[in-house]
Amino acid sequence: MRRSRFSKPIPLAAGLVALMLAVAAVPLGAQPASVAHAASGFGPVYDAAHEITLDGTIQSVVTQHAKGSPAGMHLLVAGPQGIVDAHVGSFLSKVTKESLRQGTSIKIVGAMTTMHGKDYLLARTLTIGERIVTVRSAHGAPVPEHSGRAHSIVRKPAQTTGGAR
Amino acid sequence: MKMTTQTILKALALFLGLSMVAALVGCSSTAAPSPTIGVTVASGNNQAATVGTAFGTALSVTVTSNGSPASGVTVTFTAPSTEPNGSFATGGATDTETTNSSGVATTSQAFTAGTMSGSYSITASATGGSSNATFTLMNTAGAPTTLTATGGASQYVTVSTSPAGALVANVTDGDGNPVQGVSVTFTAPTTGASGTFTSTGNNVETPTTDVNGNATVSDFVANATQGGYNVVASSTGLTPVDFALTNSAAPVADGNYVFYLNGTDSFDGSIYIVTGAFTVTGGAIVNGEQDFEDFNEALVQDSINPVGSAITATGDNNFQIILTTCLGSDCTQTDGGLGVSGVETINGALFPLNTSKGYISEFDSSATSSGEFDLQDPVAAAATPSMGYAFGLGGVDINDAPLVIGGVINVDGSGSISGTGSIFDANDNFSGTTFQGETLATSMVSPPDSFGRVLFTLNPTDALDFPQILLVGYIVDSSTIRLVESADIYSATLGGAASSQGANTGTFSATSINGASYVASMFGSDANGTLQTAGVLSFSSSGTLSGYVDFNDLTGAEPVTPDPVTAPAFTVDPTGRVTAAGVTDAGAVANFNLQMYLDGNGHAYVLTLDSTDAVGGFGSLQTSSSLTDADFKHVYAMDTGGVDGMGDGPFSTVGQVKANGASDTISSPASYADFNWLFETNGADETFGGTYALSTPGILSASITGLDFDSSFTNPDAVDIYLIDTDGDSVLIETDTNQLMLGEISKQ
Repeated sequence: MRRSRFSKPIPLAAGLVALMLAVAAVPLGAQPASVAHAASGFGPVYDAAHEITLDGTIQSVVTQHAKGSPAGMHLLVAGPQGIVDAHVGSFLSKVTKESLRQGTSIKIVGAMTTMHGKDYLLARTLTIGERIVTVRSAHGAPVPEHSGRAHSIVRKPAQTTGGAR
Repeated sequence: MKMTTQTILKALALFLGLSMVAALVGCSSTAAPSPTIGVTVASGNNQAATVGTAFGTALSVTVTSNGSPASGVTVTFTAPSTEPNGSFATGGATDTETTNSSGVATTSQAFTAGTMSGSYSITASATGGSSNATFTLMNTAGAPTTLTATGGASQYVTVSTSPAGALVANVTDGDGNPVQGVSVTFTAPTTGASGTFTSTGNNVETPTTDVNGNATVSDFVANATQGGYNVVASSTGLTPVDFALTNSAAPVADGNYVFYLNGTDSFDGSIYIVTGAFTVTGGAIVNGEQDFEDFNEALVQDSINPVGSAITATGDNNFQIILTTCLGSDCTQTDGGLGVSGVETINGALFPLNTSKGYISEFDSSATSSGEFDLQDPVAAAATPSMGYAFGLGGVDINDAPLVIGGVINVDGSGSISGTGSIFDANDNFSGTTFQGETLATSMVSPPDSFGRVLFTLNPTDALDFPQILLVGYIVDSSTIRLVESADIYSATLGGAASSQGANTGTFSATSINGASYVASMFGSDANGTLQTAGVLSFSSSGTLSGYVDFNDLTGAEPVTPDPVTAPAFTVDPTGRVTAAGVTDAGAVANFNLQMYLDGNGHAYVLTLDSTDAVGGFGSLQTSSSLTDADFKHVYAMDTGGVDGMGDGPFSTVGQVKANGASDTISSPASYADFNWLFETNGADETFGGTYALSTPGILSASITGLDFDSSFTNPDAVDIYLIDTDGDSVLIETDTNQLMLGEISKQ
C-alpha cells in the first residue's frame, strides 16, 4: 500500500490569525534557545516566553522524516543567522504547502528547541507574502490550518489561548 | 520653395483622395439600412440515430432578409467538437451550403452519429445573420453487447437476510454506451446455499435496465443454508455474469449493539467521533441510531436505515458492519455528509472467547478510526444512569488544539447531579495544572431512549472557562457508557467513555489502590505532533508510585524502552480521583503530572496535566505482578491505530493474532485482516508475524512484521507489549521511529 494522500483541505484560521497577531515576537538571536525537557511532560518545551522571529528565504523543503527530528514538514531557511531548520508540522493545507518553495521569502515566528543535539525552530506562525498561517497554538500545540467550524450549531469566538481560558 | 512636377502630382493626388472620401461619406449617409437576416429551422430537428449510423433527414434552414426568403446566402452547419456529437460525410464538424430561391439551405452531406450516446446541438449560421438556428439531435445506444456485474458482485450474506449491496448488472453496447430497456434475468441456484427474490417468491427475477443501463435487484434474501454460490445474470445474446455470494452464519447473536469509533475523517482531516446502537434480529440490522461529530460538524443524530444495512462475516475471521444512515429520522434520504454518501462501512474482529464484543475500524474512504463494539445489556440500557461514573474524554477544543478531560460525575439524584462528589480535570492546549480540580454545579442526565441513548447536561462551576457541556451517551451495560460531545456552548470535539462506580461511589481512598498496578495507554500530542504513551504504574502501600512507560512522538526521545519511572507520592480522593505529580524517569526526559479516575472495578481513565503535551486514555487493573511471556499464548482480537512515519497519515488495523507462549512467536490464524491508511482500505490481507521476549515482569519486547505502512508492511516494528492478565490481554506500543502505533489485544 502506498502513501497516496499528502494534504488535507483545511481552510485558514481567521480567528487564529488574530490571535497570532496579538502575540509579541522578538528577533532571532535576541533570546537563548530553550532547553528541551526542562518542564513537565513527554514532549519538548515550547518556550513561548522566548519566541523569535526569523525573516529569511526558503533554501529547501524537507518532506521526508529524518530519524530523531520532529515528524512532518521542515523548512531550511536562510536568514541572518545562517540556515535554520524550521519544523512546520503535518497540518498545512495543500495551498500552503504549494506556496512553500525554494527561494520563497518567509517570516516565521516560533521557539527554538534542541533534540539529539540539533536545534530546531518550532514554528508557530508563517507569513508567506500577505498570508499568515498558524502552525501551533500559543502554547506550542500543533493545530491544523482551519477557518473554524462551518456548521456548528452553537459557537463561541476564538480565544487567545486557543483553549478554554 | 520651388514647386517641382513631383510635388504638384502629390498635391493633386491628395486632393483627389480627399474628394473621394468626401463623396463616400456623403453616399453612406444616404444609403438604405442593412437588411435583417433571419435563420430558422426548416426540417431535421429532434432526430435520433443509433451511434455510428446516419440520421435519416437532412438538416434544413430557411434564411430571410427583412422577412423575405433570401437566396444565395451562405449557411454553415456546425456540430460540437466534443462527444456526444456526429460528423458530416466529408466536412467533419461542418457543412457549408447556399440558400436556394426559396431561401432554404439543406445539408448535402450525410450526418452520422458519433460513438457516444446522448443529445447535443448543431448550429446553422448564415452570413450576415445575427443569430443561429439550433437543431437538437440524439445519438442512441447500439445493440447490447456486454453484460457486467457492477454492484454486489462479491458479498458475504448472513443467512436468511438480504445483502447490504444490491445486485446490479449493467448492459452496454459495443461503444460502451449504457443500453436502456434490456431485460436481465437473475437466477439463483434451486438447491443448496442460495436465496429467493421477494418480488417473485422464487429464485428468478427479471428487471429491465434503466437509463444508465443498470438492472438492479435489491430484494434478494439468502436462504438458511451456509455456503458459496453464484447468482447468474443473463440476457439474450450476451455472455452471462456471476454474482459470487456466500451465505454465512450471523457473526453475532440477536440483540442491540453499541459501537464507538474515534479517529480522523477525510473531509478535512479533523477528528471525528461516531457512536450509536443498532438492533440485530435474525442476523439482520433492523433499526438503530447514531450520533456523529467532527471539528466542522456539531453533533448530527441520524437513524439507521435497515435497507442497505447489514452485519456479516467476511471469511477472514473478521466481520463487517454496513450502516446506511437516514437524514435525521427521514429514511427516504441518506445523510450524505457521513460515510461514503451516507453509508458507513466498518470492519472488526470479535473477541475469540466473547463474540458479543470486538474491536472495529472504519473501513471506507470517509475516515480512519478505531473503536469498540459491544452487545448492549437491555436492562442497564433502560435505566437512567445513577451514582458515580469515572469518565475520560479526548479530542480538540474550539480552536482545534488538543484537549483531554477526565473526572468523576456523581449522579446523586434521580437523573440529577448536585455537584457533590463530582470533579474533573482538563488539559486544554498544554494548560498544565491550570484546570485541575474543576467542579460541577447542578447538572442532570436524561432517561435513556429505546437505544440506551442518554444526554448529560453538565454545568461546570467555572462557567467562564467551561460553559455548559452536553455529552451524548450510549449505555453498553451496567459498567460502560460511550460518550460523544453534543452541540453545545463549549464547542469542543470530544469522545470517550464513562465507567460506573456503583457501590464504590464516594468510598475511595489510598487503600483502593495500594499494591495495585494499572496498565494504561494514552494518546494526544506534544509540540512535535502526535504523541502516544503506554505503561504500567504501580501504587505502593507506602504511598509511592513506580512503573514503566513508553512514549513516542517519532523523535526517539525516549532514553530506554521501557523507561522506568517513579513518583514520590500520590493521593486518592473519595471520588476515585488519583493525583500523582512529577512522575519522572531517571533523566527527567519524561516528567509528567498524572491524573487517574477509578471505577473500583478494574477500569480507569488517565490523563496528564502537563505544559508540554496533552494525552489521555484508558487503564486496566493488572491482575498479577508476575506476568510473563508464557501468559501471552492465545488467539486474540487486536486493533492498532496511529500515524505513519511522516506523522500525518492516520492508519488503523483490526484482525486476529495468535501468540505462542512456548515459542514466543506471534502470527495470524489466517492473515492479518483489515487496514485503513489515509482513508484507503487494503484489498488483500498482509503476512503478519514476529517474536517476543520478556523484558521486565509484565512487559514483552517484540518485533512484528506486517504492520508497517511506509514500507508496504515489510519493515519489522519494535513494540512493547504490556500484559494485563494471565490471559495475555494487553496493550502494545511501537517504540521505534518508523511510525506511531498504539493498540489493544484482547481474548474476551
